[in-house]
Amino acid sequence: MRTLALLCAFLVAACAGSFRRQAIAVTNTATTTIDAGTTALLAQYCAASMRAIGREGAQVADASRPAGVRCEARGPDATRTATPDESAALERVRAAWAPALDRAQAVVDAQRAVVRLARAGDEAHGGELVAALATLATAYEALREAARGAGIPAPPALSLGGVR
Amino acid sequence: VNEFSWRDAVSIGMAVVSALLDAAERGCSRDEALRDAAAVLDRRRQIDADVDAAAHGRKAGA
Repeated sequence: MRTLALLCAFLVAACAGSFRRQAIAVTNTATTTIDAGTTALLAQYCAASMRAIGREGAQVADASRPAGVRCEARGPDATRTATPDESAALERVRAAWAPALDRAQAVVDAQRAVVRLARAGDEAHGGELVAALATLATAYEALREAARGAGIPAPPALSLGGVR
Repeated sequence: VNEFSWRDAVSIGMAVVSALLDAAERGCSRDEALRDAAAVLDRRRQIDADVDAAAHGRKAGA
Protein backbone atom coordinates (compact mmCIF):
# COMPACT_ATOMS: atom_id res chain seq x y z
CA MET A 1 0.00 0.00 0.00
CA ARG A 2 2.81 2.35 0.93
CA THR A 3 4.58 1.42 -2.29
CA LEU A 4 1.48 2.42 -4.23
CA ALA A 5 1.25 5.71 -2.34
CA LEU A 6 4.89 6.42 -3.11
CA LEU A 7 4.39 5.77 -6.82
CA CYS A 8 1.20 7.84 -6.98
CA ALA A 9 2.90 10.74 -5.23
CA PHE A 10 5.80 10.52 -7.63
CA LEU A 11 3.58 10.36 -10.72
CA VAL A 12 1.45 13.30 -9.56
CA ALA A 13 4.57 15.28 -8.79
CA ALA A 14 6.12 14.37 -12.13
CA CYS A 15 3.00 15.42 -14.05
CA ALA A 16 2.70 18.66 -12.10
CA GLY A 17 6.02 20.11 -13.18
CA SER A 18 9.45 19.45 -14.61
CA PHE A 19 10.05 15.72 -14.53
CA ARG A 20 13.70 16.08 -13.67
CA ARG A 21 13.13 18.66 -10.94
CA GLN A 22 10.43 16.53 -9.34
CA ALA A 23 12.55 13.38 -9.63
CA ILE A 24 15.35 15.16 -7.77
CA ALA A 25 12.98 16.43 -5.08
CA VAL A 26 11.35 13.02 -4.52
CA THR A 27 14.66 11.17 -4.57
CA ASN A 28 16.39 13.58 -2.19
CA THR A 29 13.49 13.48 0.24
CA ALA A 30 13.58 9.69 0.23
CA THR A 31 17.38 9.82 0.69
CA THR A 32 17.01 12.00 3.78
CA THR A 33 14.68 9.42 5.34
CA ILE A 34 16.93 6.53 4.33
CA ASP A 35 20.07 8.17 5.74
CA ALA A 36 18.31 9.02 9.01
CA GLY A 37 16.93 5.46 9.24
CA THR A 38 20.21 3.68 8.53
CA THR A 39 22.18 6.01 10.82
CA ALA A 40 19.75 5.36 13.69
CA LEU A 41 19.85 1.63 12.96
CA LEU A 42 23.66 1.54 13.08
CA ALA A 43 23.75 3.58 16.29
CA GLN A 44 21.41 1.02 17.88
CA TYR A 45 23.56 -1.80 16.49
CA CYS A 46 26.64 -0.25 18.10
CA ALA A 47 24.87 0.05 21.47
CA ALA A 48 23.43 -3.50 21.28
CA SER A 49 26.82 -5.00 20.37
CA MET A 50 28.57 -3.22 23.23
CA ARG A 51 25.78 -4.18 25.63
CA ALA A 52 26.30 -7.86 24.65
CA ILE A 53 29.90 -7.67 25.88
CA GLY A 54 28.85 -5.98 29.08
CA ARG A 55 29.60 -2.37 28.43
CA GLU A 56 27.93 0.83 27.52
CA GLY A 57 28.51 1.85 23.93
CA ALA A 58 27.67 4.81 21.77
CA GLN A 59 28.53 6.17 18.36
CA VAL A 60 30.64 9.30 18.58
CA ALA A 61 31.83 11.64 15.85
CA ASP A 62 35.31 10.88 14.51
CA ALA A 63 36.42 13.04 11.61
CA SER A 64 39.51 10.88 11.03
CA ARG A 65 37.36 8.02 9.74
CA PRO A 66 35.70 7.77 6.33
CA ALA A 67 32.30 7.07 7.93
CA GLY A 68 32.82 9.98 10.35
CA VAL A 69 31.85 7.99 13.46
CA ARG A 70 33.31 5.53 15.95
CA CYS A 71 31.52 2.95 18.13
CA GLU A 72 32.99 3.68 21.53
CA ALA A 73 32.90 1.62 24.74
CA ARG A 74 32.39 3.67 27.89
CA GLY A 75 32.36 3.10 31.60
CA PRO A 76 34.67 1.29 34.05
CA ASP A 77 34.44 -2.01 32.12
CA ALA A 78 35.52 -0.45 28.84
CA THR A 79 39.02 -1.94 28.82
CA ARG A 80 38.51 -5.46 30.13
CA THR A 81 38.43 -8.54 27.90
CA ALA A 82 34.99 -10.02 27.19
CA THR A 83 34.09 -13.31 28.89
CA PRO A 84 33.19 -16.37 26.76
CA ASP A 85 29.53 -15.85 27.64
CA GLU A 86 29.71 -12.25 26.49
CA SER A 87 31.45 -13.26 23.26
CA ALA A 88 28.65 -15.77 22.63
CA ALA A 89 26.07 -13.08 23.35
CA LEU A 90 27.81 -10.81 20.83
CA GLU A 91 27.55 -13.49 18.15
CA ARG A 92 23.83 -13.83 18.88
CA VAL A 93 23.35 -10.07 18.55
CA ARG A 94 25.19 -10.04 15.24
CA ALA A 95 23.11 -12.94 13.92
CA ALA A 96 19.88 -11.25 15.03
CA TRP A 97 20.81 -7.94 13.42
CA ALA A 98 22.27 -9.35 10.19
CA PRO A 99 18.98 -9.55 8.20
CA ALA A 100 18.05 -5.95 8.99
CA LEU A 101 21.56 -4.67 8.22
CA ASP A 102 21.69 -6.64 4.96
CA ARG A 103 18.37 -5.12 3.96
CA ALA A 104 19.56 -1.66 4.93
CA GLN A 105 22.42 -2.03 2.45
CA ALA A 106 19.91 -3.29 -0.15
CA VAL A 107 17.92 -0.09 0.39
CA VAL A 108 21.04 1.99 -0.22
CA ASP A 109 21.77 0.01 -3.39
CA ALA A 110 18.19 0.58 -4.59
CA GLN A 111 18.41 4.29 -3.77
CA ARG A 112 21.61 4.59 -5.79
CA ALA A 113 19.92 2.90 -8.75
CA VAL A 114 17.18 5.55 -8.55
CA VAL A 115 19.81 8.29 -8.45
CA ARG A 116 21.58 6.89 -11.51
CA LEU A 117 18.33 6.96 -13.49
CA ALA A 118 17.33 10.38 -12.18
CA ARG A 119 20.72 11.72 -13.23
CA ALA A 120 19.98 10.53 -16.76
CA GLY A 121 17.09 12.88 -16.17
CA ASP A 122 14.62 12.82 -19.04
CA GLU A 123 11.13 11.54 -19.71
CA ALA A 124 12.53 8.65 -21.77
CA HIS A 125 13.75 7.12 -18.51
CA GLY A 126 10.47 7.82 -16.70
CA GLY A 127 9.24 4.24 -16.76
CA GLU A 128 12.54 2.87 -15.50
CA LEU A 129 12.63 5.52 -12.80
CA VAL A 130 9.17 4.64 -11.53
CA ALA A 131 10.14 0.94 -11.51
CA ALA A 132 13.34 1.74 -9.59
CA LEU A 133 11.34 3.78 -7.08
CA ALA A 134 9.00 0.81 -6.61
CA THR A 135 12.03 -1.41 -5.95
CA LEU A 136 13.33 1.16 -3.46
CA ALA A 137 10.01 1.37 -1.63
CA THR A 138 9.77 -2.43 -1.49
CA ALA A 139 13.36 -2.73 -0.22
CA TYR A 140 12.66 -0.13 2.45
CA GLU A 141 9.53 -1.95 3.63
CA ALA A 142 11.56 -5.21 3.74
CA LEU A 143 14.05 -3.42 5.99
CA ARG A 144 11.32 -2.23 8.34
CA GLU A 145 9.81 -5.73 8.39
CA ALA A 146 13.19 -7.34 9.15
CA ALA A 147 13.79 -4.86 11.96
CA ARG A 148 10.40 -5.53 13.50
CA GLY A 149 10.95 -9.31 13.12
CA ALA A 150 14.22 -9.07 15.05
CA GLY A 151 12.72 -6.90 17.77
CA ILE A 152 14.73 -3.90 16.58
CA PRO A 153 13.06 -0.46 16.52
CA ALA A 154 12.03 -0.07 12.87
CA PRO A 155 13.27 2.95 10.89
CA PRO A 156 10.62 5.59 10.12
CA ALA A 157 8.31 5.11 7.14
CA LEU A 158 9.63 6.41 3.84
CA SER A 159 8.79 10.12 3.75
CA LEU A 160 7.97 12.17 0.69
CA GLY A 161 7.15 15.30 2.65
CA GLY A 162 9.30 17.45 0.41
CA VAL A 163 7.37 16.72 -2.78
CA ARG A 164 6.34 19.96 -4.43
CA VAL B 1 10.01 49.01 -45.21
CA ASN B 2 8.94 46.54 -42.52
CA GLU B 3 7.72 48.33 -39.45
CA PHE B 4 8.45 46.92 -36.06
CA SER B 5 4.99 46.05 -34.78
CA TRP B 6 3.78 45.35 -31.26
CA ARG B 7 3.39 41.69 -32.33
CA ASP B 8 7.12 41.50 -33.01
CA ALA B 9 7.80 43.02 -29.61
CA VAL B 10 5.56 40.46 -27.91
CA SER B 11 7.20 37.60 -29.82
CA ILE B 12 10.68 38.75 -28.88
CA GLY B 13 9.59 39.35 -25.29
CA MET B 14 8.11 35.86 -25.00
CA ALA B 15 11.24 34.30 -26.47
CA VAL B 16 13.39 36.18 -23.95
CA VAL B 17 11.15 35.19 -21.03
CA SER B 18 11.15 31.56 -22.19
CA ALA B 19 14.95 31.55 -22.45
CA LEU B 20 15.24 33.08 -18.99
CA LEU B 21 12.87 30.48 -17.51
CA ASP B 22 14.83 27.66 -19.15
CA ALA B 23 18.09 29.04 -17.80
CA ALA B 24 16.57 29.42 -14.33
CA GLU B 25 15.32 25.83 -14.38
CA ARG B 26 18.70 24.52 -15.48
CA GLY B 27 20.29 26.55 -12.70
CA CYS B 28 17.87 25.15 -10.09
CA SER B 29 18.56 21.61 -11.26
CA ARG B 30 22.26 22.17 -10.80
CA ASP B 31 21.75 23.70 -7.35
CA GLU B 32 19.67 20.81 -6.08
CA ALA B 33 22.01 17.93 -6.82
CA LEU B 34 20.98 14.34 -6.44
CA ARG B 35 22.39 12.77 -3.32
CA ASP B 36 23.55 9.19 -2.82
CA ALA B 37 22.56 7.48 0.42
CA ALA B 38 25.44 6.64 2.75
CA ALA B 39 26.65 3.05 2.50
CA VAL B 40 25.70 0.75 5.37
CA LEU B 41 28.22 -2.05 4.84
CA ASP B 42 31.33 0.05 5.58
CA ARG B 43 29.83 1.54 8.74
CA ARG B 44 28.67 -1.89 9.90
CA ARG B 45 32.16 -3.37 9.43
CA GLN B 46 33.62 -0.43 11.32
CA ILE B 47 31.23 -0.99 14.24
CA ASP B 48 32.11 -4.71 14.29
CA ALA B 49 35.83 -3.86 14.34
CA ASP B 50 35.31 -1.35 17.17
CA VAL B 51 33.29 -3.86 19.20
CA ASP B 52 35.85 -6.62 18.57
CA ALA B 53 38.57 -4.27 19.78
CA ALA B 54 36.56 -3.51 22.92
CA ALA B 55 35.93 -7.24 23.49
CA HIS B 56 39.70 -7.73 23.51
CA GLY B 57 40.24 -4.86 25.90
CA ARG B 58 41.54 -2.46 23.28
CA LYS B 59 40.34 0.99 22.43
CA ALA B 60 38.58 1.45 19.10
CA GLY B 61 41.04 2.20 16.33
CA ALA B 62 44.06 1.32 18.51
